[in-house]
Amino acid sequence: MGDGIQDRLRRLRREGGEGAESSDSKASSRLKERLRGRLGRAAAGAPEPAAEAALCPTTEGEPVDLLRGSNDHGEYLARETEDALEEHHGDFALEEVRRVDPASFALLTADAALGELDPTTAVYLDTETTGLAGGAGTWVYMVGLGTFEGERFRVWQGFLSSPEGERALLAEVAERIASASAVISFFGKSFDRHRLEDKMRIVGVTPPFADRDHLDLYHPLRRLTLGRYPDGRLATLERELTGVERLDDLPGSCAPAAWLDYLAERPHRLEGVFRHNLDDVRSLVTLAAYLGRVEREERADGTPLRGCAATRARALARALSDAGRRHEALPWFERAIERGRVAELEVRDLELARAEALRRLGDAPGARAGFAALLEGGEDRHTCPAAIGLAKLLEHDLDDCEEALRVCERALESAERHPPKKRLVTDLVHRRERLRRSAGG
Amino acid sequence: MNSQEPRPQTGGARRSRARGVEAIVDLLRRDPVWSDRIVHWHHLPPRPGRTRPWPQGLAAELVATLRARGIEEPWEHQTEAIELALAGRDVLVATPTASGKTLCFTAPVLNELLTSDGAARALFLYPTKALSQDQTVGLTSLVEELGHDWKAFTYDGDTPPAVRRGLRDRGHLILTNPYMLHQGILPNHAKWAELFRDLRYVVVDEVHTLSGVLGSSVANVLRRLLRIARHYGSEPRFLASSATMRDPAAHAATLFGRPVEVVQSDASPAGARNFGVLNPPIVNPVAGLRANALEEARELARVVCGPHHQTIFFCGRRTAVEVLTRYLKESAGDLGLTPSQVRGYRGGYLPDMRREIEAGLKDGSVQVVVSTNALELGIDIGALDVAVLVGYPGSQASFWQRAGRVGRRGAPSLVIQVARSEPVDQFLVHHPGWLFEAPRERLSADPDNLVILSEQLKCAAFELPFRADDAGSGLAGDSEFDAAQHAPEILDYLAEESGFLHASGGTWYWMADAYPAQDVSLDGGEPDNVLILDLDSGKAIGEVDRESSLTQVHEGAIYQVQGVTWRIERFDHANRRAYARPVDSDYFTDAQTDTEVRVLRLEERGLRLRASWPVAQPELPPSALPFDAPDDEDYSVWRGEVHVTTVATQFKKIRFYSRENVGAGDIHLPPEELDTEAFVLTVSDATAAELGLAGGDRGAAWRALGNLLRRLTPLYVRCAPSDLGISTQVRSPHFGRPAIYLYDRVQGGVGLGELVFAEHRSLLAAALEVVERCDCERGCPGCVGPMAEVGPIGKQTALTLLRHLAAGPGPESAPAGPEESASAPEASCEEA
Repeated sequence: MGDGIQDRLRRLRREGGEGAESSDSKASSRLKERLRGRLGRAAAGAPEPAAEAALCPTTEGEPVDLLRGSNDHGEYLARETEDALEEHHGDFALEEVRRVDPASFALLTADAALGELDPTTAVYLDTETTGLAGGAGTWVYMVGLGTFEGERFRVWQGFLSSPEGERALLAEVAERIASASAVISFFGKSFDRHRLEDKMRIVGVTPPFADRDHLDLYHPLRRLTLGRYPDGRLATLERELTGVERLDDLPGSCAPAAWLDYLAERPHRLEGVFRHNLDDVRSLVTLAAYLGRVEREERADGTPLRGCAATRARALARALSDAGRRHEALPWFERAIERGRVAELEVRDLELARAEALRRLGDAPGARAGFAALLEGGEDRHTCPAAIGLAKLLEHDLDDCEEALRVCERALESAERHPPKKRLVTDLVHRRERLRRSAGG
Repeated sequence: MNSQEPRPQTGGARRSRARGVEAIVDLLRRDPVWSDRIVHWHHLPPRPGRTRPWPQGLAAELVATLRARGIEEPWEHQTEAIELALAGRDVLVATPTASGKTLCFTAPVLNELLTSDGAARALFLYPTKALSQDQTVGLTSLVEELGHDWKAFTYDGDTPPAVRRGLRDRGHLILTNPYMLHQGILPNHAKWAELFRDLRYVVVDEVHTLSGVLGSSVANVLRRLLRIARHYGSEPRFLASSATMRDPAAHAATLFGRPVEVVQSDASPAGARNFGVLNPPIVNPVAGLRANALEEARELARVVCGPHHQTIFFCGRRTAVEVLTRYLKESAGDLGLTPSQVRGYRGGYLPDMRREIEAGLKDGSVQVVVSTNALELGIDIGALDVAVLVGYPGSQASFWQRAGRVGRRGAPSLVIQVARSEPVDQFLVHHPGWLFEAPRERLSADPDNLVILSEQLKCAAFELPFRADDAGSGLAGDSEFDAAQHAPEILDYLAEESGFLHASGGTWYWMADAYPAQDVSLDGGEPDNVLILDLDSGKAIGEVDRESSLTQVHEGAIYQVQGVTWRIERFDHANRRAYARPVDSDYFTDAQTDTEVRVLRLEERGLRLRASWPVAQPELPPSALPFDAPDDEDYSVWRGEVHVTTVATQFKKIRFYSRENVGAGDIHLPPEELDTEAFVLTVSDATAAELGLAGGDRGAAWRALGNLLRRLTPLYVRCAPSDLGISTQVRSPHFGRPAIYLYDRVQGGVGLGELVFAEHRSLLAAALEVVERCDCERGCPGCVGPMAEVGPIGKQTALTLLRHLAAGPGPESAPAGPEESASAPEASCEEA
């Protein structure tokens, strides 16, 4: 193209200027139409199932019984509820959390710091948000904080009545958390904490979590019940472990819509959210009370703990074994195997772990019997590791290289059918070579 | 081609191997066979470098470290760029490959770290993951030489979640790509608060890759970046680089939303550069068929490969890379090399393998590499000696990027362009000067495209609320988005009608249970790749993007890695996994796709009547028309929704070396579908007949006209030609007359069809101007396309069409008509 065409093109473009302008505004109105089609269907308040709607009636306007507080950053709203300590939430009285052994917290979370946790000076935290997606645009609009104050359990539920009040509310939340000795939550280490931290950083409030112990009940409780329930949700665990039945609970999944409806001045279910959040905070207390008693397997009054005793014993055996406390782990392995058999659970993995613990504890006869029983009990993915354990025992503790070599071969045979980790096979081949050499020499 | 026929031997196996580039050039010029085939030589004499002292403002220890690396004084353009950066300006360095662009931004960035005592942060954006990983290594070693423990981290899809946290808090230099910035970093800016608080520089590498829809989106991502940085109290500057291009200042200003200083005079030295254009011999004189370019490259390898210099081959397609790699590995002995000194390189290799090859090129353990455009961008592989371009890469920018891979400081280099039988390649054989002229391609982006802007405003509002200014007509404290014309209206729409935002107190807040960046793509492409796994071990052996998966990993496809052949046994399309077994295959596979455009709904029509602009000199008098002209239409333009289907139908098995077709198979995969918007141009039968477009053999001219319109679109609608798909047909089943479709290649469309509809008169006028002004006799790539493509009268026919269509009054609005909205099977695509 020569220069001429450049000029011409520029001129044409200028001439088209007016036309372009009007076509632009036409485009703008057409844009609205098209956006309607493309974006409209994903509108914020997804319709709720009718069954859920029946559970919790809607109300209009402002939530009732809100107290107004203020700090340097402005005003915030909150609702406060007090429970007497002897009050029950499900089977447990709230005060039972005073009689726990925090060592169980440390054991089942593999976090030694939690062994010193005082559940009566901790804050129990649960939030309600506009969704689970995370990121800067997910709002935390309700923060439930439970604390023991003298003979009462007090739940403070901070509420964001408009986006403008975010900073004042979050500053208040940060201060309240900072004045507690620790945080107790359910899945909060993965979720609630991050939502609060993100929002606090955005509005310029220092997050209070970094130097504070945090007991997240989700992982230890999940461990204690693994495979017994269809899911690890709070509602499931509180029902199965602490007997909490919520009659007219608003599902947590409805929480986003409730606030969005409220802001849009539509009828909303915020009352249901307040109650749901309050019950969640109470459950944090009783589930902590449960978790703190698992090594004793009974509540303070001698009532046996609910929940599956076999999976509990298995979790404790594994946790103790992982912590290097093999002596203490052994009786739990015994219980887990025994209870597991009764409950018709798979126990060969436990038998393998027990034999391995015995070997490491230097109980050669016990370990040998354990491995031998596994090898005789059929061929599966445990056969190869059992044979490896036995070969190690024979080579190092029992000085029987010939038998060790034979077991090694067995392990390699089994590895063909049930391939273990690659590294195990490499080690095994080395072991066999070594044993062959010493057998030859 | 008759594959049994023995090919002429060249080079001579017994002839001693040429040592050094000059000897190779000499041999190619002297050898009767090669000198016949290399139809054009172009020589650029050596050019000395011009240096200039280090800028005053640069910290002494940084200068000392760079001197210790052997940079006594930088090249002039480097000094200029660094000085501008130190003066607080936004800078774009637009110079060729290997001119030392990296130093232009590492020096200011490291200087900032030194003077701020490690407080400063910088963010680097690269177009590919490979580039950012490569640069992380380079920055880390420079930081170590400076004796500091600042951290440079790559943050991309491969970064394990476990290390992301430490990286966010401790990373001084974060190297990532626009996609991660868009979907990972910006929506989670609170987690990156450390970075944003002290963000001094945003480095954007290879900005010439950011045009069209991608460029328009990235410009908005950068707007989002700037407003977040401001929220945390920083005002970063842009340091950018690009290939040489036309009007870099304009492109940078569009991308960054503000004027940028451009440095574009390359002062680095170059050795003598030799360019040869090679036209393979005619093997079938009757059909005029030339030898396959890939086979020609294989023969050329005997001359241009050897143990004493490094050679790079560029191929257009991944399959070609693998086939040539296999050939060269198999003949490595003849080249004086071992097979392991010959490597393939392309996207889809796993990162470890790529790193290994790059290192091998740098340390000399790899002497020959065969690559796709994956090595076109700035991956550091050192300078090589000889480049062979198998086929024209499609643009001058690509040609120069590839050519820039060779030429060690002061040493001569050689670039051979091997022509394929394709028209554009053949045109260049006859007009080689075209390659060496100033770049003609213009880059274009439109950050204010209404659809792209709306989607990006959603993402931006998710990140931070927007505030209206006091007048209520703009945005307060948000200069980037305030510059976009319709931002407040779109925000209102998002609040009032779609419910994503909540407007209160003059502020728009994100208010929905969603993560918008996840649903907003930067370039309309699907980000998910297909992983290729060893069926037996489950180990990954490579990956392929979704679009290519249709033709590369269908069941029965031969998938090649470094010359090893795998057969795809199963393609789990839904889960994006393909399973392969190694096989000893003597063939490779080549799959074909069909694209179909179907009209869903026509929304607008412009109609010109024959009465208002009769054809000036009808080729046929009206009385001679072979039918009764049923209506009074001259031509129409339409705008509406279309459905585009691309389906892989069949694959061929092609034997290595002989290229015999040894079998075929059907492909059973769900089609790739696209619902989008299109602009359509139709000409009535009567007018078509009078203009000489009646016969089917004139289809080439009609197609050429469509292609020309597509190429000119960026002059009027800010997009890249590749953003538009095209389909042309001389007799469209839907319209019953000749039709050209230009459709938006992004799912849902970003409104390009509509904009083309509005601008079509200018577009036709420009097309006429281009063809009239072009000096060529019968067509060239600069106008309608080379004669081999458009036929002997193609240019004339196109000119006749344009002279009629572009002149006279424009069409008037007419009902799109209910009868037109019926859907019917539509034209098959000429070009995917």
